[in-house]
Amino acid sequence: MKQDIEISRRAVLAGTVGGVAVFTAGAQGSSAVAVPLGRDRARWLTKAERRTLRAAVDRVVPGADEDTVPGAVAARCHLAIDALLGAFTVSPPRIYAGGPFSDRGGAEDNDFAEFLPLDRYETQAWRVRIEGSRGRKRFERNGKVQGYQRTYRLGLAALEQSVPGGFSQAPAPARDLAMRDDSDPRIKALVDLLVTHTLEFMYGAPEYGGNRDVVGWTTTDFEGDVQPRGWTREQVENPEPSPPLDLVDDLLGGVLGGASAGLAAPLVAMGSTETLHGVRAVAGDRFSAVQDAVARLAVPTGEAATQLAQMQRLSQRLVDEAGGPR
Amino acid sequence: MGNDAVVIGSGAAGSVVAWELARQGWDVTVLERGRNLRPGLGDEPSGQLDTKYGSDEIKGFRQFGFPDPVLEPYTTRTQSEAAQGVPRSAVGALGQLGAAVGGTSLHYNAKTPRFWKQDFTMLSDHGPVEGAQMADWPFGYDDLAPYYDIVERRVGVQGDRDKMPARTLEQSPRRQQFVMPPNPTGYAAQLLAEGASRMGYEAYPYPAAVNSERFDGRPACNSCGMCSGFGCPINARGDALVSWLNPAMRTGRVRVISRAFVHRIETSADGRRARAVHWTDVAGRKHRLPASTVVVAGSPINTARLLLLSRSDAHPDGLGNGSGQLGRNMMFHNFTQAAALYKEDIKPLRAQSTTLEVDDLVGLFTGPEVQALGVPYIAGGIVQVGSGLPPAGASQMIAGMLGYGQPLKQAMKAGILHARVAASQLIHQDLPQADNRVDLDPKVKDFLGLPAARITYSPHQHEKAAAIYLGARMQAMHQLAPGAVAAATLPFPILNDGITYTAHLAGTARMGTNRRTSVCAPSGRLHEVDNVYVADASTFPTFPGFNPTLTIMANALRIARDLGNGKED
Repeated sequence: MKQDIEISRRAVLAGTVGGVAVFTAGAQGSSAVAVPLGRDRARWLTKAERRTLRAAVDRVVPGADEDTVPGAVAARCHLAIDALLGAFTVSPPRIYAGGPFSDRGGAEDNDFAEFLPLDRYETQAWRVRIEGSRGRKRFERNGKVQGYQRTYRLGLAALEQSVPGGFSQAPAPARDLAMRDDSDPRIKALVDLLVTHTLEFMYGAPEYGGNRDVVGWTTTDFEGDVQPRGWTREQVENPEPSPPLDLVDDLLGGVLGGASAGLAAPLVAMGSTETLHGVRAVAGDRFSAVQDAVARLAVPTGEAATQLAQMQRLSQRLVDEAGGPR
Repeated sequence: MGNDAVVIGSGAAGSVVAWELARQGWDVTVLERGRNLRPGLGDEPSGQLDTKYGSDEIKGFRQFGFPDPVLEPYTTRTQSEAAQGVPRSAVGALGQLGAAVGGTSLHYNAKTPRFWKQDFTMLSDHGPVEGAQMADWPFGYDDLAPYYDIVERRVGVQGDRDKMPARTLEQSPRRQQFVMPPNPTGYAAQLLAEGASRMGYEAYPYPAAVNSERFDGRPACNSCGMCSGFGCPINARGDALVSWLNPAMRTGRVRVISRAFVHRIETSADGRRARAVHWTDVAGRKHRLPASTVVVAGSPINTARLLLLSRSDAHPDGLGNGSGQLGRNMMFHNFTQAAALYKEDIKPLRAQSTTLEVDDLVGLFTGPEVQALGVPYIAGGIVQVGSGLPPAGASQMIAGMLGYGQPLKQAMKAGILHARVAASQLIHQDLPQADNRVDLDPKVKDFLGLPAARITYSPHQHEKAAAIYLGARMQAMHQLAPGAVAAATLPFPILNDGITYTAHLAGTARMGTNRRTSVCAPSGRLHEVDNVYVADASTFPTFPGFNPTLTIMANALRIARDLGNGKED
């Protein structure tokens, strides 16, 4: 069967395939081919802006001077954010890392390091997200979209000026205060994005420019991406025992709100892809919206609070009937 | 009648339809709004397809293989907001399924339980429920069972019949042992199984379309743990694309057009027959594809949207909507999440995700305790036992709850959501309601200028009662798990009056024999249009609390087989 609509290999390589790709038996050349990214990372911010950003990501995941463990600056989250803002200054744009394997799980080559060419739909979506709708009607049917670039540029400038002597030179407590002051919408919009981005780059795959030397994983007992090696039956069923971590007690007695068995903060139950995707679907990448969505789950009011209390009473009875925790 | 068809959507339903019709010698064109992410599609055997997926959380955050919420938003609101005249309370990604060749199945969790016998006769057995449009299915478990058998053999389902409780086998009888044995059981799941046992529940291996041994030219799963929401990097998962669509394309009788945004089914002037399908490409160019048979499989929201967009003089309220039921009975599986916290690293991500299930909370439950909650019965659901959340996602939940800075950093160091947690999800049955519906948003449009789907949804009182009754049992089970230092439960139907995220959708074009109360005949054919069929979960009259993909595939195969055979309603 013949391919109905021809796609030139060059167009595929450049990630500029038109509207349509048709796949039929016998069709060739329709697969995206990754083009290796050079060593130079993408950049967009000025040096001064980057300095402000560096001082800001330091408050999202504070550095080793506070608890001996590296934070967002050591992980280079600020440089990863800069690379995202400049994603379209390189080809292919730094949006989707390649696949299927990095070289951390036994593969010889690192596929993640070769970013994927975008198709036209993805290019439109990500250009709008990064650069804004910029008066193009088809992307403004539901209102103008302010791109990441403008949010960072305006926000970093406002943030820098919000502290006498400059944000980037200020001590940590002053920077914490400045970032939590949401009276300036430019700063609020900035912090909304940069918290989400910092967390993604701190704990996500290092090929995106953050998580330098996988410090986001080695400091949190995450074993990283393990394909194609994976785990053996023995490693799955009988993992080597780990010593108990007293930090868990500290958390239970502290930030989790003095919880005891059965009354732990609802956060513990948020460790599922379903909850994560639900919150992200509502909030997008705005951190304050993530907080709002999480608060609706964690701090029920009115009838929901009554029903939750009813559920807790019932569960306590069931636990007692079963003889209690052992 | 010609032996060609246009299938709209290449997910779990559309791919099965394409495979079956091609097997019967039909020529099929599949229109898919997403991109192909499996290089080699149509050329190579499924075992040799490449993939662009990886164990990469950031790709997931960036909608890889999903619709873009700016370009193609949905709008949503609750029933009470709708009653107050609020046009929408959210615009964006809420409710979206995947958009890629192969559909959402490319990154599904691949859990494949069967529905139970009792699920097909809820109305006759238990009577009506106030505020819900309960219905029987127009066929029973025994009618679907042969298709379950075929689907399980084709996608390659692991499991162990010998470990299934007698009740389960009575409710979902199976003639044969599973295609392959279960994966190794995760350590976190083993701990929770003990908690379940103390409640009198019996955890057993979760049937899953995941290779535990080499199958169909594809390798065995190696328990990497990055499953739900990730494409399988090693091709160990049976899905719509590798199990159905790609083999169908290799017959030479099926072609797939990706990034094809279908917006209208054109009919004859009297509205009795579809003549063509209209679609737009991503550059905005319009296309008209003549069709002698149309099979709609866009998943419940998009199927309803397309049929509503296809309104005409002959079908003023949407194609095939003489009943007024099109778009109604939109059902989502709500979840009740529970978790146990440990001081030790229990490796919840070292396992094919949620290796065990508990079905003791499926029910039905009746009796005084249930009556006291104000409902005649509680229909529950299956429990996915023993998972965790990878760290980039975990950090966002933690920061959302505790704030960023030191609290976040310490909670991440403690690995409270990715290393020291054993979590489970109960999949709630969602009762069909007339006011839970998809319609066309009066104002918000997609990037092509077409009205967005608007979803009005709130859980029924039944779901709230179920969350109290079953949430308590989830909480107890996790509290009783040996060594747990804390447990917590989030019963979503109580906590949220709107949609919470779920990839499990059904309803909007329910099938039935009565054309005044249903949209499709049992064959999937629209009651009012001779050659338009709906083959996806839109057709489900009710939505039992089980992962739906296996049943979507089995039902689509049933519909396509009868269509190909020329069987009349």
